[in-house]
Amino acid sequence: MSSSDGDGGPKLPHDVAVEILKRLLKRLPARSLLQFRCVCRSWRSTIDDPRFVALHSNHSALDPSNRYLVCLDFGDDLDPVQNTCSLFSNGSLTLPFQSQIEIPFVTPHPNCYAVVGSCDGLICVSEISSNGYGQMMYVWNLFTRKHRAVRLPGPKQQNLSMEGARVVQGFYFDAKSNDYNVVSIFLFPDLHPFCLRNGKPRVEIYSLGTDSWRTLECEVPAIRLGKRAVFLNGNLHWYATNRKRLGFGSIASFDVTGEVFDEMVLPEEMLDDLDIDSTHLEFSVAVLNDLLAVFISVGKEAAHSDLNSVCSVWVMRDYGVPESWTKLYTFEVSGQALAFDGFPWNGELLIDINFEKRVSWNPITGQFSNLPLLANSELVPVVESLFSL
Amino acid sequence: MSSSSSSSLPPCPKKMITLKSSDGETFQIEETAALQSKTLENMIDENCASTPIPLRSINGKILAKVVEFCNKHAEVGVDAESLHAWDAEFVNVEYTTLFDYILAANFLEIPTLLDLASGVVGDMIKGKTPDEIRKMFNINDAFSPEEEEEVRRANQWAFE
Repeated sequence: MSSSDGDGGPKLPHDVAVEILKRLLKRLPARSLLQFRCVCRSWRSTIDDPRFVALHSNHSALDPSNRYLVCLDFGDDLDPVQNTCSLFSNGSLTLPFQSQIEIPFVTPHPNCYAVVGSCDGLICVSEISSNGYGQMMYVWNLFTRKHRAVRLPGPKQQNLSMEGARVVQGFYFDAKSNDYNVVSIFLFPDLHPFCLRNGKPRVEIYSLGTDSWRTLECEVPAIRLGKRAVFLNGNLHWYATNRKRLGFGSIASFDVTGEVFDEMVLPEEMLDDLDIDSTHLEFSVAVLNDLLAVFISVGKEAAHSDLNSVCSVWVMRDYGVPESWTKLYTFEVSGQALAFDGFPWNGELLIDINFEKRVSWNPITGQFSNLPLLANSELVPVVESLFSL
Repeated sequence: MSSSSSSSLPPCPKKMITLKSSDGETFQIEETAALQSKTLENMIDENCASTPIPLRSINGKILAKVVEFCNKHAEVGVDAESLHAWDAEFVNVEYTTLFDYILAANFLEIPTLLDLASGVVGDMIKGKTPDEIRKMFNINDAFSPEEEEEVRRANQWAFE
């Protein structure tokens, strides 16, 4: 085989060139590929081909060096200029961040965003307004620096208003339709005096592929506001209020392919040995080592009227089997543990304390580490992607 | 060498197959080592491997290296670390040779060699400018300067 050609480099035979080119390019970061679009026409069309984008994304997901934890900081009332995100490579927060990128979309007020979630290389962010319900949401690929602004659906009838509505959202990829979607559950508090809707939630699904919303008629569990959805096993999960037993929770799930909601009641053993009358009782749903997990934190008076938290971590060993809930860890944290998350990729826990700081807890060593993150910043995992918006 | 497929007497002699390069050189390779190539495996399965297999797109110099690679990777008792070191040495060659490995591995369908060589070339091109890439890949159908500027502008930040 003579692939060399005089003083130039090798020339790939035409019949295999594209296949081999894809094989070489799928390993490269998005930034290099965006540069290489101007090498020549055939490189540009290879890089722009949605099949190559999918190949690149699948390859990225397997390679730890393409994984990042992204810390989004939307600033606050005191420091509205902050609107940046920091990329931590290899899914580790212990090393300094690798790069900082400005968040490209702006809203009238600082800190009026809710991070809906991330999926492959995309991050979905929704606006929230002072009366609860924002106007826009954004889907952003920080690897291509492109985003799409999407108007949230308004009232379906002219005489109704969305004022007072609250929204719970989840961002996911549905393999069956090969599309990214955002499910939005609009909740209308009963106490709204001008509300004609009996508090029945309205469910709308946004498709990134068609850039449109559609309504889903279905029953919805009583999902709690304010916490991000957790994706596992083809389902989104949220912590929910169990309607049958007040004070104790369940997990609401949404099957993204079948488009139905379901509810898994948490076992009563979870509350054994816990002081459930504590005014500081927090539940979080997360994914830990590919298992659905529930974190429970109970406040406990400590010396000098400080508050400590007793935390327990449960996992559902067999997905969907209630008997398989197992308590993994119990440990104590100084301060009030308010929210938890499972670190993707390394099995550590991320804990929010007193709305002031973030710590990680390593279950193997039992060690806590302070993380260099602002308290109101949001953390999402992403992998290199060329997905175009 | 015996390549009779009816031989069943223990100890079974090692089954060899013969490969013939584009420039007429022949190479013997044990069947177990050759099975790493999907293309050769199919030929063996279809009993087409009893005569020398002509590989018209692979020259003797490259075929010798490919056979060496397959033999090494078929060796038993090689620990992962030393195989990794061996692989690193194997691909420590000019990029034109790496392209030849890629083309040969692509034709013979040897995923380990294909991934190995593609990974090294991928690392090589990561930090290159589009100009360097055109030279490296001997690309002649570049955009006109105006067109290139337009393509570049679409993702200007990536060049900064």
